Amino acid sequence: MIRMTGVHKWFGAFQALDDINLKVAQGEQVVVCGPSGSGKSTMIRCINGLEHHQRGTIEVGGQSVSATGAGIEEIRRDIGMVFQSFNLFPHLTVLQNLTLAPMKLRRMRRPDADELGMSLLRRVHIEEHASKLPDELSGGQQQRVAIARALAMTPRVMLFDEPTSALDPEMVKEVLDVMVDLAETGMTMICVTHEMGFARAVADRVVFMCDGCIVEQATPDDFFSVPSTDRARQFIQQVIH
Amino acid sequence: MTMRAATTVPEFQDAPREAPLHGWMVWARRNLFPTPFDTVLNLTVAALFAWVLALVLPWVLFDATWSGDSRADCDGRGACWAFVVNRFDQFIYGFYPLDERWRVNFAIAGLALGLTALLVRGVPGKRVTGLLMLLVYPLLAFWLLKGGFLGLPEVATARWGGLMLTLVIGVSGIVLSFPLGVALALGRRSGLPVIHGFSVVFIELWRGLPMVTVLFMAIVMLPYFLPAGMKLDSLGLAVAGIVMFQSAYLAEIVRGGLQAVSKGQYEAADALGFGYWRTTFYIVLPQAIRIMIPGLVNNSISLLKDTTLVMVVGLFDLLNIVTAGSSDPDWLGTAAEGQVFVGLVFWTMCFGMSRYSQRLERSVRSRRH
Repeated sequence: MIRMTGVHKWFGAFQALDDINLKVAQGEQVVVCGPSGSGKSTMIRCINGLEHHQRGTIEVGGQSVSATGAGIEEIRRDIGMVFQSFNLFPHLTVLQNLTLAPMKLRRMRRPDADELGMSLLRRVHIEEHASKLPDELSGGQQQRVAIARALAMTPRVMLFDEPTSALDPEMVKEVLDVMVDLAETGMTMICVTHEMGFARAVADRVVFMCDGCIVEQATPDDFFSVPSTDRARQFIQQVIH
Repeated sequence: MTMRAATTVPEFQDAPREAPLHGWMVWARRNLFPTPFDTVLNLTVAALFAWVLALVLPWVLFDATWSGDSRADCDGRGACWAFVVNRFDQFIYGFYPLDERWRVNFAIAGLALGLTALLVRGVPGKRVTGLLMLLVYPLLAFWLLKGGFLGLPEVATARWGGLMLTLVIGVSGIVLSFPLGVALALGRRSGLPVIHGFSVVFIELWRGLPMVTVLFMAIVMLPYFLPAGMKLDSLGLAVAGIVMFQSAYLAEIVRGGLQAVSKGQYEAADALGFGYWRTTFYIVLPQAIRIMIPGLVNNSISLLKDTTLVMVVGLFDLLNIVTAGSSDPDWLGTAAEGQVFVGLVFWTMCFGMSRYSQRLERSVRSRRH
């Protein structure tokens, strides 16, 4: 489904990604973790072209991704993305946040879009807030709306960029629950997160990054019990303590 | 005066013991006279206010003359409003032919009707009305005012004047400069060097020139560069000049609004697959415009007042036609009355815009919380 081959990226002189090779199969759930500044976010932002990579190739569903190239918008419509800071559209109601993209980009009629939107809101348990503005919701509720908004385009892959990092502790679970539900439907997911409980429960594979490199890839059980590198060992101790 | 105020205080404070307090007295005591210092301060200000009114009111109202055919009919003690009353039609219509003035009335009534439908809450069909006012009304108004086709005789723009001309310039200036300003702001933020460069040069050039200079050059110097015999319409030139100016100012207001929209909004739109134009129209501009309301209205107010500069190109807008009227030998010495009248008309229009913008801001805020 996703294939990154020899991907390099520099911000000026700083090398953010160093020879990234990653394959994610359809229906697979991958958790990406690592210390801050290790290039996790940059890597998944390259997958939908929010960041330009300078060397290497990225393919999503067989199509090559390049942030400047033509067709990037079509590729992005098949890739859902959830941000750390939610980024809901504050001038639109919750339901309008969900229906705008299907109506404007997929020419869906309003009744159909509303129906789709409401069914997604039910799925993230937030249908009673459909006509509110995002500012009126708690952080956890906003992030669930953001997940539903990404799902409204019926994406083939979902990218999560630290979806729970900006949340108060008591709201983390409601968002993770929605993500677990989504994983159980067989959605292909790549999640940058420090929620190791989520990784254990859901991930097929944990990808550990450090200094722009993928240092280690393993099943969650192997990764947490017998990490093969010192850096991973240090990191696990710091997150789990 | 302070002395008298000071002696009034104890009496007033004693009053409650003699008579039961009424609602307004309670309010006054609590808000106007809570401490001796406040009492002195408030009474002093009230006295000053009364003194100013005592000076102004006789001139404005009591001793004023309201009818007459020349300055000679005014006795000179109070204002000579006879001047404004006598010339009122000219102040509104300029030199528009008498028999055709109904066309101006229709155009102004259409504007008033459209604005009312747009501004008053509860009137349905805002979107349709808005489109009608933006796309159909200007053509209709042009046909009514200028004529020359579809059965209406032509009235040359040289005969337009007064408040009607001020409104024509002001409304077309506001309506035309907005899209141009948005385009320039987007251009200035564009990554394409040619578009970016053009926008920057355009904005900086027009922002840096005094408007009077531009209008003057347009009317005096432009003809030298044009083929002999070709004559440009002064009104068209004036409107073009104002639109260039205001769109440059507006572009910077719009740019400020665009910058206030966070990077996350662009990323969310990108990630969903919105392209540049769809992101701009559905996500960025609607948010930016809310932020821009105070700046936009401020700009519209200043534009409306700048319309008085068209006297440079020989147009008789409200201010110019009143000034011209008071130098008529029959009405010499009525400049003050004329200026007060013009000031009042402009103030009313600008204050209306200001109130509307405050209401808009309130409704945007209450929707957000």
